[in-house]
Amino acid sequence: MKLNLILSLLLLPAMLPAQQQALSEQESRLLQDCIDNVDLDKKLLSPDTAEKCVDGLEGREDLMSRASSAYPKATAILLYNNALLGLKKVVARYSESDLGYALVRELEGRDCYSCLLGIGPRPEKLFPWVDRYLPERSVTSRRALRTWDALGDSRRSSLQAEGMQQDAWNEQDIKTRYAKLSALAEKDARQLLSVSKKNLLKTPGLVAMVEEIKQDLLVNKPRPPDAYKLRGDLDKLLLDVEVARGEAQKPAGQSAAENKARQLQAAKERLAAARGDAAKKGFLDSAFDNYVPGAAAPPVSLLGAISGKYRAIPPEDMKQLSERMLSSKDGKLTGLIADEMAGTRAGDEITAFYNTPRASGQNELNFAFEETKENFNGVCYYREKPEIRINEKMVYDYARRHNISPTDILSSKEHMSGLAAYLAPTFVHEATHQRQETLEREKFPGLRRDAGQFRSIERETESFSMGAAFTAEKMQRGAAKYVKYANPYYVRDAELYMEGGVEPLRARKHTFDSYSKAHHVDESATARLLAYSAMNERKAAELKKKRDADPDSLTPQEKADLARYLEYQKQAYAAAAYRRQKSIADERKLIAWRDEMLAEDSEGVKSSVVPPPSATPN
Amino acid sequence: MRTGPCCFMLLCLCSAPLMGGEGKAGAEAKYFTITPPEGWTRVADASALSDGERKVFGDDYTGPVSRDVQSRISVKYYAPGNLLHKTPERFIKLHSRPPFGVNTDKKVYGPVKNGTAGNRHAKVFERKVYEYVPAGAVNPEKVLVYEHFAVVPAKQGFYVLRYTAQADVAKANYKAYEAVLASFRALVK
Repeated sequence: MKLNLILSLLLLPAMLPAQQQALSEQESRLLQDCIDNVDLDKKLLSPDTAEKCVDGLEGREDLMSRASSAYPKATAILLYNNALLGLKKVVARYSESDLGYALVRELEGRDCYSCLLGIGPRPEKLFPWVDRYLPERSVTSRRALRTWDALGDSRRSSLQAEGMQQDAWNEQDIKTRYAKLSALAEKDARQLLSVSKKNLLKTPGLVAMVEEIKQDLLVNKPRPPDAYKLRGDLDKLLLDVEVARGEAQKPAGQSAAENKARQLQAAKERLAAARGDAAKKGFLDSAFDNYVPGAAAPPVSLLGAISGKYRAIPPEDMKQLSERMLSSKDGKLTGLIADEMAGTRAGDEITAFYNTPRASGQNELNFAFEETKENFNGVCYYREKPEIRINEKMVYDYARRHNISPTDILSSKEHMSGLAAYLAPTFVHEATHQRQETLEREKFPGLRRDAGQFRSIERETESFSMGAAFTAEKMQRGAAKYVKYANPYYVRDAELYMEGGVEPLRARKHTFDSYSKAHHVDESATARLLAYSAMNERKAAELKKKRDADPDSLTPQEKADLARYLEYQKQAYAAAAYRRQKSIADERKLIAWRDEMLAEDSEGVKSSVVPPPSATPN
Repeated sequence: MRTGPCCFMLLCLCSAPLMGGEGKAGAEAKYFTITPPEGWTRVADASALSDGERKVFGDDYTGPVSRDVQSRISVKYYAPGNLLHKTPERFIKLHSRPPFGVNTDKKVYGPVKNGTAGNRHAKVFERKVYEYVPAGAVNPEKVLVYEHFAVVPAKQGFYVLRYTAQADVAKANYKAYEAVLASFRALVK
């Protein structure tokens, strides 16, 4: 029913008459191509055509406005093409559980526009499209989504032992599959670890089985609490079994130590070969590239290196630490992080943002430490007024890196400054978000209700780039001293920025799987319209159709609803155009900063290392 | 010469060389030809600026992912006046040693040597660097990444062919890059 409604809105062959003259021939052709691409009768659904549509329609408020007169569902056409493009980006870029969770967002969440085109919601509905348009990702996507056929023998056997069969399995959604396999893997791992090595020597396909289990131990989020330990134990088990296998064939004439070393090396080689064979069987991730899965290193314990010295910072001291790091006095930033930022291009911009009064008050500093989500350095909460929180684990991480207790920081001038240097790029990053949010709230108050919901990837690109530019400037002024306290992650970003400007940062951050689906939506009104919900979108289309047929047929309430929607739509496109333009301006500015830094590089390029061009080498 | 969509499909099927920037009819199609790496996916530029503004033209292909690092092969032509690298020397300097003069995390840089890319002389070098994944994490994993560069000078501008892969998969996928390198034909002398 839902699909039929969408289809009826999409099939618009006879809807070109009166207002079409407002569109150029080229624009009409583009729109028709976009309509044809998502017409279920034609079943094209090409991601390449979708890319052209998104490029041609997004952020084009004028075109979309004219188009929506001639094509009442122009916005929907953009939505569907955008969904196809988003799907291509996800399938082309990710693998394993990263792909799985990305597809949960794309195919199994609310407002699944791909599903209305027949691609989803279950993974098996995705594959014909992948096979057609991204054949090189066919195997990878099937493996990542754990289709029945792509499961290994041991996984299938375990599931069958519980009464699960192919059809029932393929009916499961992605998260259910991962949760089930994770639980099975944990159970199987423990069982395997309890079996004697002697018995395991006779187990056929042991290496393949263990590698399957190891993969599934990490596939689900949250992972089993001791997943990494189990993986390590399984690796040790495999090596022990191989060593035991070799002991039966030990040659004479070598010392015990030589024998042991030789046996260990031989065992490692046999294990590597067996893993390679298992990978080639086709059901291990990355087998596509003959990748031999190795043991993932468990995360370093934050406290391991300082276990004897560790004293946590009490909450009241943490508050005091936060104030000494950064606060606002008489409307001006003050504190060690403010000192750290001073005199840098990015830092001065951020300081000016806080120090310049705004009527909205959205630029007020609200800064503190907090135990934020795992793996987040910091966060900018888009509340009534934005709030910046730095993960207090950063403080403990700094202490670990310097082999001191967190409480030692408070009494050390050196480490207070060091901590400020360590935290400053993260603050620049989050402050950039606050500035983005403030500017959008002020410019587009009508979109206020969605504030913060659509943090597109461009916002992250700017924030990471600002952090990188800031760090680059600090590095350039004295790298040897700065790196002693710097965050290595931001140092790497700074290197990428100097090597290639914003591009390597944008390319890299796109794969950050912690971002929600919204981050991967292209810069467009689509994001706002998604927020406005598909129901309102459809309702608006119906009202427009009714108005076009007979303007007097609308009730006062319907007129008000339509006017509200149209105003919202207008602002949405204006915001999209603004964000696109802002991305361009940001990138130009950041490239110009980089140019200035390169020009400041006193070493320069003294002599050419490049041979003169010639057509043919000798 | 323009490379329209139909022509592109036929070319793909025959594994024939493609014009740089295929599928995007226009000026960039005249800068180079390559045989795209089989099984890799062409992805869009990662810039908000147009190719024309940046004066950087070419293609990026992504391949297998290992430990959150995506393998990538890129072929780029940097036209005179481009926004990123004024000269090939500057490109080499920025990529063949630590950009800030301090090797912060024990990266390994190979020497810059003479080599070839297709039918042209090139300066080639390799390096082992680190990525920190996931992005923005408190205590990210340090992941070893291998990269190979071939910088091809031209009378106007220069070319860069680049291969990036996480160390575990770098060897296995290198042949895809080698094939691109061998098939490279610069159209700007």
